[in-house]
Parts: sequence; structure tokens; C-alpha cells
Amino acid sequence: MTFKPGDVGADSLTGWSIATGVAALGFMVYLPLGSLPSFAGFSEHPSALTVAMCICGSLSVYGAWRRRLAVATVVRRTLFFGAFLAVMGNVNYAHYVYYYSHTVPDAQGAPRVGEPAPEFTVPDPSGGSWSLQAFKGTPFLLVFYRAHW
Amino acid sequence: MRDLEGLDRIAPKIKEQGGVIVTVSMDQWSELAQRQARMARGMTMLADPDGDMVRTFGLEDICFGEDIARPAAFLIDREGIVRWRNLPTSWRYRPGSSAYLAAFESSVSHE
Repeated sequence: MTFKPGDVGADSLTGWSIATGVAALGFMVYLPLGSLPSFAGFSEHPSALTVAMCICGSLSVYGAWRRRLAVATVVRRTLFFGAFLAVMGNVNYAHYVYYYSHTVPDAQGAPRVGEPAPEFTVPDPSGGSWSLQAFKGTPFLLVFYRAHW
Repeated sequence: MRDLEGLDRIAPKIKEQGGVIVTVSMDQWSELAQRQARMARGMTMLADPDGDMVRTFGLEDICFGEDIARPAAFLIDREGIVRWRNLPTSWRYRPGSSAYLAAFESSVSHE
């Protein structure tokens, strides 16, 4: 059984490819997304995306299963590899949304509102340094971030 | 970079109100220089490769074996007192630039 013109949904090569591609996007959550602003939705609508990816993953598996008896070995392998990627993309995304993203450690030692900010000194490559005193008299927003954010 | 770009956009507004944005990451200075090149240079961007400042603020974390800073933001007034802080409990919910700006404006207006 091969893809034929007129096939629809996961039965069409285009439909199967899109479903597989969308589900496999689940791998992107662990990649540096900062340069891909269009993927902001990955963080902002996790439940909707989880459902969408599960549907796409299911369609991908369904499309591959329908053609499990394809004559050409390369077609069979491509389909099942694609379906495998789709399923793993689903698993990866769900793992990030429902487990990993909640692993931020407590910050019990962080200064509280009303307390003085701790003294710090950060040497810079020019031989100088930055310290709390350097900002005395200037209100400042101090943001700690992970490298690729 | 999305977070940094958001901060870069609000940096001029904060500067107009007499403030400044300071960012800290555990990058090497050479890595930070590449990031700085993509910004409008409206912020002070610090690298803390040894994590001394990160530990001072109690924000150390490990990700896939790599030392990193957990996400956090503090608003520190002219006297060095913390007036606002944000310590997200999920990697997914970090404040956007508008929240930072609102916190800054609120704090400045109460001084």
C-alpha cells in the first residue's frame, strides 16, 4: 500500500508529513528557542499544544501503520522512523511541560523584599569590576537568566 | 535571547526614569560578548562564569551537569534595598518585559 493522489488526512503523504513534523516539534522544547520567537507558544499554551501534538503523533502512527505492508523497505523504514520521532516528540514535550519545567530549585537564600541587596563584585575582562556600590544612587532591575534566554 | 530582547526593548524606558537594567548569566565573557553584539547596548550585561554572584544571591542551579543561575529578578532601589523580586517556580513562567517595566515604574513612583 502506497500513498496515492486523492488520499486525505494521515493517508496522504502531505498530511502524514505535517502530522509527523508537528509532533516531532516536541523536541524543540529542550533546544535554545531564543532565536525562534515564533515558538513562544511552546511555553504559553502547553495544554493545547500537548493535545495537538498527541493528535498529530497519533495520526503519524496511524499513517505508518496503514502502510506497514508497503513493498519498498525504505518507505516502511521512513514511515516507522517518522512515527517513532513523532511519538518521542510527544513524550519529550510532555516531559518538559509536566515535569522538567517544575524542577526550578527553591531560592531560600535569595534576598527578600525590604532587605539590603547582598554585596557583590564581578570582575570584567578590562580589569575593572562591577559591584553593588557601582549602582548606588541608581534604581536597577537585576535579572538572572539562563544563557540562551 | 527572547528574554534579553524584551529587556533590551524596555531598557530606554527605564533609563528615562533614572534606572538601569543589569543582567547576569553564568556565561563566559566571550560568549556574553556575542549576545551583547545583538543588543542595543541599553543594558549592563554581566558574566559570572564562576558563579560567585549567583551563589551570593542564592540562585545556583545545575542543568544537565552545567552550572546555571535559576531565573530570578530583583528591583533594587537607590539605597540598595530590594523593593521587588520575582522567583518563578517553573521554567515556563518567567515574567515578560512588560511585567518588569510595571514593577520598575511602580517602585519608582513609590519612592
